[in-house]
Amino acid sequence: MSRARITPLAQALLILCVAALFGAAAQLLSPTRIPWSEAWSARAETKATEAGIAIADTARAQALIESGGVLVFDARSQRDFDAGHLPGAMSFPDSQRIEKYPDYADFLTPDQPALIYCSGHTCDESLELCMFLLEQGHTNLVLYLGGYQDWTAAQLPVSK
Amino acid sequence: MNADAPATSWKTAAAWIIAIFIAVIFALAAAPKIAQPAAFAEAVYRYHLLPDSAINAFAVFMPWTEAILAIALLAGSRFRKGALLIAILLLLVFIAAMSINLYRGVDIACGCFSVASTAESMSWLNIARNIGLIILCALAWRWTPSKAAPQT
Repeated sequence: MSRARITPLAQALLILCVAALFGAAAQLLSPTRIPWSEAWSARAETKATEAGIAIADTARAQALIESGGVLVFDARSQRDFDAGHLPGAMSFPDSQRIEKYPDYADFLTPDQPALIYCSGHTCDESLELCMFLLEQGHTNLVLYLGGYQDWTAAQLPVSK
Repeated sequence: MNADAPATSWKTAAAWIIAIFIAVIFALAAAPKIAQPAAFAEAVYRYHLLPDSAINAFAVFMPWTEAILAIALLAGSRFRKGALLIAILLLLVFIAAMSINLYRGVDIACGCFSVASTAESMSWLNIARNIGLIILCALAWRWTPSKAAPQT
């Protein structure tokens, strides 16, 4: 007997419908369910503010760097750092924060001001790195949300 | 013809093996995302591709799609082609999402098999892996007989 076969497209739609049912059921019943929508875009700023991390715009970042009293950490990958970074910045990729931390731990005293940035508003390695440094007991952190993108857009000098 | 029989059974077996392999991959990918939707939503957000309002819905439904397609792949050849179709579409979406972020230079975790933000950063290797999976899906599709066609 040949059973009635449905086309691959119909099979796919059926699979999607079943997945949708399970997803909806999980959102109704699961203890780990999440809200249907969240203000993700404001996340970096909200999380930083809640954690007591200062936020800098480009003018403030520039003033801090020119004052010279601040360590500048580039949380992007080493490759991006090598292609160009803020003057005086040191490479501290968030993805290698555990390995890199000992390199800086000696002169990064708990109240040493540090300015941290990544590629721009669409990245959050800088936030992740700030949170990590906060956990290590460093409290004088400034997050430059505009990052490398805003810095270069303002035609400010970069180092290579 | 009788001469076709060994070739057909070889292809059927190969299609089965690939289907099981793809199913295991997607099941392994789905499990942590379903278990920790909040962490997965964050991984999705870090790709910076979806509007705020779509991130959580994607983070809820996409892993279930992975899970159900894995089950469909294991449920014989009846739903295999539909499941392979979705698998290929998902893999293409993943390739696009990862390529855009590698191009942007955003150093984020893949969020593929682990939802931890400290998981290893994604790289072009992830894209190569997905291309390999797409090729396997295509082979399984090709070697899955469509029994609707009358065999004479």
